[in-house]
Amino acid sequence: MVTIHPESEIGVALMALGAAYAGARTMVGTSGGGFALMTEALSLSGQGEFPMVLVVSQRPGPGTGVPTYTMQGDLSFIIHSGHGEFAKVVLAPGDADEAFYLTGLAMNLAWKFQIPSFVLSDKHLSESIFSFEADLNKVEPEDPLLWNGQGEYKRYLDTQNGISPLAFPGNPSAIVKATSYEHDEYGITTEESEQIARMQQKRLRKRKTLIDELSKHEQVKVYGNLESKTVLLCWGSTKGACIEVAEELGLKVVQPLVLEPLPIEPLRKVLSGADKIIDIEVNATGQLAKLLSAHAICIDDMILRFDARPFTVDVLIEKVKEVLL
Amino acid sequence: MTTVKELGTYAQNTWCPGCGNFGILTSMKKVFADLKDEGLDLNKVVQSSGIGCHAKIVDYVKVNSFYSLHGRVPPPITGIRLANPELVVIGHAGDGDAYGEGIEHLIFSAKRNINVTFIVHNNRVYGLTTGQFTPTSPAGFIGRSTPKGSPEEPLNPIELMLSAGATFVARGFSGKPKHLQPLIKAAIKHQGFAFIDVLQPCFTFYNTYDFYNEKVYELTEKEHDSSDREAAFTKAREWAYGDGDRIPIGIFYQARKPTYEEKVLGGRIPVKLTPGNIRSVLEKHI
Repeated sequence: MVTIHPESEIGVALMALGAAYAGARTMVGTSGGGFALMTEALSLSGQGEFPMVLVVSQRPGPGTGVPTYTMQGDLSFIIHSGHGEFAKVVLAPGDADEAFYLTGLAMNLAWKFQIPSFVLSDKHLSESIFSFEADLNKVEPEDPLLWNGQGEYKRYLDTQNGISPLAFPGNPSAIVKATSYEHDEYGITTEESEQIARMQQKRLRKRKTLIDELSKHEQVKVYGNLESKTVLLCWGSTKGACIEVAEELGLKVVQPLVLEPLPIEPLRKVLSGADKIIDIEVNATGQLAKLLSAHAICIDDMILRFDARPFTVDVLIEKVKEVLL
Repeated sequence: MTTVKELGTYAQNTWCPGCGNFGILTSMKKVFADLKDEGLDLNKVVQSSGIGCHAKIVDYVKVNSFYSLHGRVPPPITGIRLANPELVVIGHAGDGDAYGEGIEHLIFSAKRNINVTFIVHNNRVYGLTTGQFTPTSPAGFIGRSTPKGSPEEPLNPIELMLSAGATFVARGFSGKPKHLQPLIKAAIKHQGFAFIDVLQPCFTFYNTYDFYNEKVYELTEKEHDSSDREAAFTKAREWAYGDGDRIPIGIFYQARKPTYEEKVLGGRIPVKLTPGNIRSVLEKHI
């Protein structure tokens, strides 16, 4: 493994894309303000179909905010980040165990689909100390779709599932032309209408393929009293306090691990039959609740904390009791 | 013998007739053809470009390419070299690109001494956007955003690159391809960050052909010792990208120093490492 510290987040993200183009798996790490600078490269990853893994650890914003404290305030920003329309995947671990496996999954998905792949963390999760049993065989590095060497190489070959086989510069029989411009299959710039629409569709088809792939993985976790009609809905590091409170009060906890593409059906399944869904987030506007409401999954109550501290069990249990009164 | 023609693509050339970019394109193809005949595998060559008229060059040459964003050529080519130091990497950028939008990356590339060639197509105007002043336009330049003349003094990129630590600093002129070709070849063969500022007239929005033809002269070994950094600074100051009587072209400075890849990779080739190495690292600690 090679680790470097470049001049800026703009440089970091683009170096990662260059390395991916040459065939090396790369990962970048940042927080809100740094990620704001990376959005230019993120969009390039969408157009050029460069695999990219980004670990974004949230802190309170806007601006410099409270940069040594924690928040879950960048979910909407991450999901909608980057100009233009392209597929991305956002995974949100809630503890060290999930962070370990989901980071491996993020790398595999980035390369399988040639898309940007996020591990969305926060200061609370990133800088806490955990111990866990690591199953090193649980996530194996998977090979991306590689070019078979037949015929003339086309970097952006239009395929049924949207995924074009990869070759890397240095391959004796391929010329690999990658680009930020709209392009034809070979990678040459185009402004021709049919070609543009075709390539937009090709790239967006990968999102459908990605959704199929994600359905093979655990996308939503459930804890506590599975029979309870009251659900504490949470994501990321908030799960810890939620599980303890739920165990104390006999409630159910639902935690989506995948936030983009949102696992609608698995969520509907675990939320069906709930009388009361209480959304618990460390932000001021209830960003997960908003995301679900766009898919007609309605939240009954929200408990939000946005003073730059994570929920503690004693604070949260009182808030939940108030809501249940 | 490899011909220039076989290095072209089917992309339609959209530069204006008389564009200085043609001189650079032909020179690149000629250099690639020569290097191929000398035994270089052209499939190991990667060209990258930013955004602007210069950038179309990657569509016009049949070698691997990474068509990047405005100002953002240095970071991806750094990433490419760090992933696979066996590749021969050439970055192209415009003057607005390299000296404006992405100047931080350019300075850091020189500071790190990453082993790439970096060619700036310096027409001293934003040509693709039909004529605004750039960081190397002369003071008083009348463009679409500066109808009363540019209020800024131009940057001197040769001086800048010498200060930043580039180990190969040169200037060329697209109107002198016989001089430019060996210069590009020397830059590609140089181990370290090789920078060439190529003066390139924009026939449509800033036609400097007569100006350069009158003032440009070639540096000779007799007149200038390119291993002397102080002498290089003096030569660099002979023309400050405004008026002036004489404009030197050629190699201002060249030195062999350890490259970034040599220091960071220590002989490793990351694309040849097997993924999953994290396991062996973790097992040492668990």
